Amino acid sequence: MIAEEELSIGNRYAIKAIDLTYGYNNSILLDGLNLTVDIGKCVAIMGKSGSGKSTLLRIINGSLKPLRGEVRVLGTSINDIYKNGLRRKIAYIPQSLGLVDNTTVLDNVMLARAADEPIRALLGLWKKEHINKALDILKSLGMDDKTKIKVNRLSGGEKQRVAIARALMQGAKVILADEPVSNLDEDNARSILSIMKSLASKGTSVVVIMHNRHLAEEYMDEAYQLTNGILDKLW
Amino acid sequence: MLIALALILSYLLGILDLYAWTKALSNLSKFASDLYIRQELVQDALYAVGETMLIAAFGTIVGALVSYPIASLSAQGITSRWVSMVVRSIANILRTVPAIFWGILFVVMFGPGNTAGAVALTLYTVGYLSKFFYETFENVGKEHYEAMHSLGLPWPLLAKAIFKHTEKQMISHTMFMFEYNLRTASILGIVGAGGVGYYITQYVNILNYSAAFTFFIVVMLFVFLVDGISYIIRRHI
Repeated sequence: MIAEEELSIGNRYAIKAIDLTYGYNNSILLDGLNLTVDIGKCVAIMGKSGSGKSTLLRIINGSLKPLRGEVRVLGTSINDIYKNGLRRKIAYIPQSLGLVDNTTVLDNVMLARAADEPIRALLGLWKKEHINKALDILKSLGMDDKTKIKVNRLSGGEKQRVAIARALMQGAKVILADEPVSNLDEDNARSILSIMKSLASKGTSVVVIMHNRHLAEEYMDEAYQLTNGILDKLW
Repeated sequence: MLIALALILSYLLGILDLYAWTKALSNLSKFASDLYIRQELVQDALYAVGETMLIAAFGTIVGALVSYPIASLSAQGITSRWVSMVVRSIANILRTVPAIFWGILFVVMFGPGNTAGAVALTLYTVGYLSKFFYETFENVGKEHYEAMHSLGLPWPLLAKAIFKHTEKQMISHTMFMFEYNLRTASILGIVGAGGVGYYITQYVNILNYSAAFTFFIVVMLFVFLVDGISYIIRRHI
């Protein structure tokens, strides 16, 4: 259980996971794992393939339920993810990015507003102020000249930017990114990680799964190694 | 082992009867003399094929429109397990009934003609297309759905997003179904449900094989043409 005094310290935690245990088919993947991510930090999770990194992110996102343990995001239990607008505050960017093919960059970003305006979303009639906000976000990520292009025609790095833009449009305070730079060349990888570091400096907490230790040391505030179901802090 | 099984089945079905084959070839050579194209019937045949294409097009388009919401309610990931189980069962029932039985039912309800064929083909299409569609939806990775869920999308918007994501496969399935429906619509006429099959059956019943053959050739050419166009379109989407 998370101690009440920790919660009363003005909730400086973006993510707090205590004694997290998860497994399936009679094998344990996460074994009493603990993780604390402060608000405004950029954190890397590293480890071998199959060690449970993606599973950890999916539990924090509320997609999977742990066998035991507790996860709180921005002070709210992940079990109450649909309360207090918490769902909107967590953006999950899977390895495949979760973008909608055959749809333009702008429409993909606008999807972040769809839950608030479902009728407009169904008809594709967005409010001008929301379109302008999306365009501003895309401009800040260097994608303003590609708003009308369908996402399946973009490069890997450009698609990552669109996924990040959608997370920002969502108003996410926590971004969970599963291997955002694994398939990118070094220049693009650095560019994406710079964006994430910049988001963290503005108060958004970012948790990134990655394998490149060299880049992690350069861009990440903290890093953990997931081994045998437990997180070991590297720095 | 398959060869042995094939031989046993052939024996049981009387297919290995050499005498029967000899008689069959003799009958074919007599029948072949009636197989020629009658130019004066080509226009009628084209009209009948036009009706068949209308029936196939209606069944495919309306069937696709109905299949889409059914498929989105059948796909786990878009909807809950229980809802998907119930809706899938309904689609399975539609698919289990052969097209010809739907044809008979709607001929009884509406009388012989194109309406019976069009409605029968629609239901038949829904049974198949909804399955193709929901299997396509379910092939979209689980993590993709999780990313969509993290946006808080309600069911209709989630279904729309997944449809857009799989648009090319959906178009491909629909075009395949149209090719298939063109053939099925031709056959539905046998039970009076309109289209070219109706005319072919009438001519066969009065032993006018040359007329039936003319209609059959025109249908076949159209089916080849549609198959070819559909293949080219599907390669490019």
